[in-house]
Amino acid sequence: MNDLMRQEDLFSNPTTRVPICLCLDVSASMDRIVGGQTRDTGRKVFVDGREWNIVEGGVTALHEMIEGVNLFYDNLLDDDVARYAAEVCIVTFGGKAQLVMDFANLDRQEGERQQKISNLTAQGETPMGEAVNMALNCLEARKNEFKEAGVDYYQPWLVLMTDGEPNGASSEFERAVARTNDLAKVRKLTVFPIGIGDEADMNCLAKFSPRRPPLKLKGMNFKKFFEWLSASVSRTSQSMPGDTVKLDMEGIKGWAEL
Amino acid sequence: MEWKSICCAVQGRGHAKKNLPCQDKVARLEANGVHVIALADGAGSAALSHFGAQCVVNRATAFIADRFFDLIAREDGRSVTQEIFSVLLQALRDEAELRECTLKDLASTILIAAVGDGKFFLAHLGDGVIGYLNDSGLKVATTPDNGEFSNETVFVTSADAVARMRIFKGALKNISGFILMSDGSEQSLYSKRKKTLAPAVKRLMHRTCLVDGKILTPQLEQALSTVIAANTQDDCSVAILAKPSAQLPPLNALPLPERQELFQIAGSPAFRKVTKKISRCDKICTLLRRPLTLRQIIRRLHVKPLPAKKKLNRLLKTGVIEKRNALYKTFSG
Repeated sequence: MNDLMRQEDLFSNPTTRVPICLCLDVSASMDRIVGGQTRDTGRKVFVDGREWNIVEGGVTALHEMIEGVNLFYDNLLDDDVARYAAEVCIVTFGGKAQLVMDFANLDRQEGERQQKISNLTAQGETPMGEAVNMALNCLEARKNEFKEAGVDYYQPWLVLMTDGEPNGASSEFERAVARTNDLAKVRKLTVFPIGIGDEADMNCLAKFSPRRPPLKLKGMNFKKFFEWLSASVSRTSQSMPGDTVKLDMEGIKGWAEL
Repeated sequence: MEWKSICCAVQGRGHAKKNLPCQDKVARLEANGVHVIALADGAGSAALSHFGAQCVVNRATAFIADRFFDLIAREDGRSVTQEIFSVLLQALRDEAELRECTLKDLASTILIAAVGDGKFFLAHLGDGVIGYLNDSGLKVATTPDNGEFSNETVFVTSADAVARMRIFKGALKNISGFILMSDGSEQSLYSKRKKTLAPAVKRLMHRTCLVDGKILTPQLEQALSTVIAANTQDDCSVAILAKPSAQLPPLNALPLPERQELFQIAGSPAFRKVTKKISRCDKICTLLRRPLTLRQIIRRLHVKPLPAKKKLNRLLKTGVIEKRNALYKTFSG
């Protein structure tokens, strides 16, 4: 306590926020086996644009992604500054676009986080445009809330992960591409389009990112990606006004095929 | 009653961790009947912005003290900002040549407040806040000029700096205090939601009027480092101009507990011993409203030299009186 300045005579402004929107593919193809022991059942199914063999056991791409997202949360919660700065929103697309977690302080999401993320299931088609539009709507709404509450914020991030190609309404897709481009071109949004596996449509992902080519996940290295993402959020949250936050390009090599 | 000023900048936790210098710089100057304070926050992205910020506050205070009356007489505000920038950029170009760097390496914001002959002048470019105190309380003159995002702002070296600088001039009337703060101090001294200043600002202005800057500056530095810097990663700085008024009462108009605090006298005022000590200090401060030598003081107070000197030294330590060229005087006049 200082004689000249008493704590009760001061204001406490909220921490400057880093809004991050994870827009994740949970279409049926994310149930593909990427590791572990499997047993073929002999049955086949046609879903999400192609025919699949049904097996038992094994580790799916979705499992890996869920582990990555949980690790992302854990890392942010472990960081003294990022914990209060980061705000995460999760929109998934599998059959339909769905808001799984709306923007909120991490501590407030913690109660339902594990359950909501772990319960994600892979199903249906890939309505990527619908999901990106939903993500951008959430982002706009949150920014308005920040403005009303006098909360400062950094450029929001949109992480778009898919293992296939969009097959929702083409008008929604075009609208999502246009909205994302408008924001990204004037640096009002940082977009990270990430392709999973060999079948990810990189051309389509590129349409969302006018400033940076999409990156392809090395194997199923979700863990490395989300580690890199949380470290980048942490660096941004500790930057000061006027700082230019540069992305850790060296770190990208650990998880992306360049 | 004359205007007093104080300024102070401390390194933020973020810069301490990275072993970077404090990029907030402050300056004050009293010359030609003008009292000026300036504050600059060096850009985090500019390698030598601490030199740029220092250069800009030094040049700005000298220039405004020199040209205050001419600047406030002009009707064309644009010509005022253009002249300020031509002077600041020339100083930065010289600095860049000296440091063998680019102008951009020296990027900083700039906030200025000046008073003279019943008039004031304010200038603000970039983030940070300028506040003032009038008869109805603390007011905000300029809010931070950020873009939409927290890490965007405008610097002296930016292309659109001239157009974005905000300037104000006017008659002081019932204004008795100004404060400049960087965005680090803003975290604790300014409410972003309500756009108001924290009550602590008024206390700082009051102390600026009553306590000698030599004593108050280290106290302010400690307050910035321990209280304000704890709420941010950024460097923290403030510069204050103030004079006694109805809002900032002079020493003799203060209630007893406040005088006791200023005289740094411990104990409950319920004890006669304590009130006696306070009234002795009151007596000296009243006597010293005009400057006196030690010999004159001894004669007026009818005390022996040694105890008189001891009492004066004690009051000098509190900063409520000052000593200049063998003359003792109550700091606030």
